[in-house]
Amino acid sequence: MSFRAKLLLVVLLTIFASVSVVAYGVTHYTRALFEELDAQRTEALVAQFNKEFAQRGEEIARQVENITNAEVTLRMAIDLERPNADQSLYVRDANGAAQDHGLDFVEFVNSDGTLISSAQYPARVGYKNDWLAPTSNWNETSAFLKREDLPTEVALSLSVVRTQPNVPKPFYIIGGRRLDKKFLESLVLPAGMRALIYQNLEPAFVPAALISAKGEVDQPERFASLVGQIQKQPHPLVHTVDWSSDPADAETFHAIPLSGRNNELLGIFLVGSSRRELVLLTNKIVKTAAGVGAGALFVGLLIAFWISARITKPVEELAEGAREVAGGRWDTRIDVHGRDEIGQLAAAFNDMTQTLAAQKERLLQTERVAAWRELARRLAHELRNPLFPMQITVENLQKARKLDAKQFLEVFNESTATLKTELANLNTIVSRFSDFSKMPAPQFVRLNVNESLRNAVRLFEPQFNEVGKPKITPEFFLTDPLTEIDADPDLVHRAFLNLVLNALDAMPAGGTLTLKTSEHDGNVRIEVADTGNGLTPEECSRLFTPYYTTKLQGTGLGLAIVQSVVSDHHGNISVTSDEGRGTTFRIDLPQRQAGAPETSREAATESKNTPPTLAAASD
Amino acid sequence: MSSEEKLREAVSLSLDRQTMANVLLQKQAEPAAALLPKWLSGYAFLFTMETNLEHAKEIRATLPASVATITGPLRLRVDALGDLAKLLGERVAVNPRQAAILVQVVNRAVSRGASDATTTSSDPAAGLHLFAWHYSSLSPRVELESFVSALNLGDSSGAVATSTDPEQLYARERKLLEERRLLPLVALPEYVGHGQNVRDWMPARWGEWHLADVWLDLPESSPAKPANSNGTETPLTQPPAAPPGAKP
Repeated sequence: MSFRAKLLLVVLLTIFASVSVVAYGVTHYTRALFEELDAQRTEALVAQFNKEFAQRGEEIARQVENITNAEVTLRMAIDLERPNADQSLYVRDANGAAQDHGLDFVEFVNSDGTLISSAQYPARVGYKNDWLAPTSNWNETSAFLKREDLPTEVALSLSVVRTQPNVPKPFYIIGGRRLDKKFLESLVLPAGMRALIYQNLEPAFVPAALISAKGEVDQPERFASLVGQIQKQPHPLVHTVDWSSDPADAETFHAIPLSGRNNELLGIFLVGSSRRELVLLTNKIVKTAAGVGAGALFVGLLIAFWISARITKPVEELAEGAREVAGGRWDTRIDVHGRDEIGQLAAAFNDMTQTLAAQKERLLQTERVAAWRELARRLAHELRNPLFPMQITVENLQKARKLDAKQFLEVFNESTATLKTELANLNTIVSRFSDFSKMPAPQFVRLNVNESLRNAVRLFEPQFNEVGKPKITPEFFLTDPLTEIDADPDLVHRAFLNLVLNALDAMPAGGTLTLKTSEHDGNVRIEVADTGNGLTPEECSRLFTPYYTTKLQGTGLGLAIVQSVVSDHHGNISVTSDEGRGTTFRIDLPQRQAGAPETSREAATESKNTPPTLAAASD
Repeated sequence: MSSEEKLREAVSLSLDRQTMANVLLQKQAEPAAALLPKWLSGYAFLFTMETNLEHAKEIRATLPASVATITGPLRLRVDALGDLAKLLGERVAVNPRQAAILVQVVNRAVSRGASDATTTSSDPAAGLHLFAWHYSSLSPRVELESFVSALNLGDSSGAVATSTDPEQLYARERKLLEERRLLPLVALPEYVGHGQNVRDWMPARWGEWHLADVWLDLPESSPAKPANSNGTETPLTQPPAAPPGAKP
């Protein structure tokens, strides 16, 4: 991925992340505000419930006190104080009192707890109400939740107990009203909220016990888990009911346990708050954020594209300049835009290339001078060898003029022969330099490297077993068959001759000449190793320098010719050497050359008609 | 003794007839221990109906826990009309509840009379059946036979059908009561009221009216006064044979 694409991506991601963070923050803040508002509304509704609860209790207390203070109640209490009082006379009085005072439940209970009359359950007359006696100050107590056992059902009531104050023994009057949907109807509910009551009168969850102001509640079983939790731990809980797959239909319920006089859980007050408003608001925020985000991304894309283009253009120019420098154009220069860091970098790049070009030029000049000096030294050395005998011969010839004709003729003949020999040496030296300077361009044909290598070695066979000299043993480790390569047979042969000759020179005391061929990564590898004394690392580093030689009699052109041939074939040559153990030259030649024709070696050989000879080798 | 017989005994022992008669019915009725009232059979005083809640609890404890619980209460169908029957029915339901026998009242008012028992006793869902029995004959044999035939309480032997011997009638009634399929609760008198301007109202002792002798004294008016006619008994029956799958 390009720098511009990365920069563009980073800018877009930054914009996207910023919009997302802002949207999330707004949504979170809105949700928190809504939850707080919902909590406040729930708290207000619970307060209203408690207030209504208290008001209802006070009203019931007033009605029960009215019944208590009624003349008929007083007469009943006084009459029942008598021994053997006829309780049957008052069986229906509670019913009348309930109707007169608008109560759902009224019971008269004697001092011993015997139920005298019951409006809601007359059949229970005569049974004991033992829970009344332990409390002595009923007239000071307020209303409380009470479980009412009725003939066909169990109900939840808000009840008050009072005692008739004008009789010695307590005479209890119990009055109450059913806590049902009428009670819920009296609550003023904000929009989106509703109140429910679960009458916890059975150990298990009873769906019909959950009522609302409209009567029964839809899907009451959805509250079973909530009721179960509060039955286990009677603490306020918050529970969300998902009525459908639409989150807007969800409803959050704040459940408040309602306890009786003995802290027994008799009911659960549930305040439901619809989450529709919150979900719609959240959706609106998300949609707005998405729209704003899309717009911001589009605008950001344009701006980021423009900015990245401005930023990356100088960088791209720098990269292009660096590539040109790597490609050899050391004098490359780029435009400098501005004075910022990129501009400074461009200026530094220009300074660097200018310095590199100058140093390269100086280096070339230095190398050129060094090469000429080396060439002059070599030429002087090579030319001086035949010139010195020639000078001596000429001087002898001048001295011989004083001799008689016969002796002069003898000296003359010897001198001319010597001069001709030395002139021939001079010609040979000049030819070698001429050959190196006239290295021809390779003519690529398909070449069997193994065959070329064997031919080169075969030319030296007389020297391997030369009488009076140490024996040299050639060993071949050739991969056969070996893929043919595109190569110039003459040049390759010439290179092999130089390598073998170099190896022979390295083994004056005899040894083993090892020749290997193999294939590596699409190349053909040729290795020529000797068992001579080896080279030092410094000698290895300078081995392919023209006119450099470690031998007393050598021009230093042999390995230079080998490197030139390998280079012309787009190959590589390397040398490894262990002092005292020998040296190995390794050549990698590509199998295919660009533009090479599909011509066999034989055809190429016939066309050139220049058989390889030992004289082609140089050192 | 089977579970059903134990349950019948426990229900019988839990019923508080005194409170029904003296409190709920405000002493306008008498606790009944016999099917036929004393004025009809003459031997009713020989029967007693024990109320023993503790014994009822003990019997209930020997019954399976699933019998007469909240998941399957005994259903008490009240066929008689009026709040009085409803009140009695609720009391009948309350009493066994003290012995952990749950009874659920099912009100189903139908026409009064002996046929009530005939038409409703075949209801397989009813475990208990509260009805009012109106004595329509002065013959204890006929009334007892009416009980047996109307309620399907077993074979009416020829001796009962033909004999008027009090000992045989007593034995037959005793056998019926010992099965506890029929539990008499209270005996209620029937009342007829008339104004003071009604003259020569002389009903026979067992209820026959002789309207030919009655005349009205139009100028004067007087409050109604009650006059005893014949009796009505409110017994509690259980179906003689529970159908397959029905609760006892």
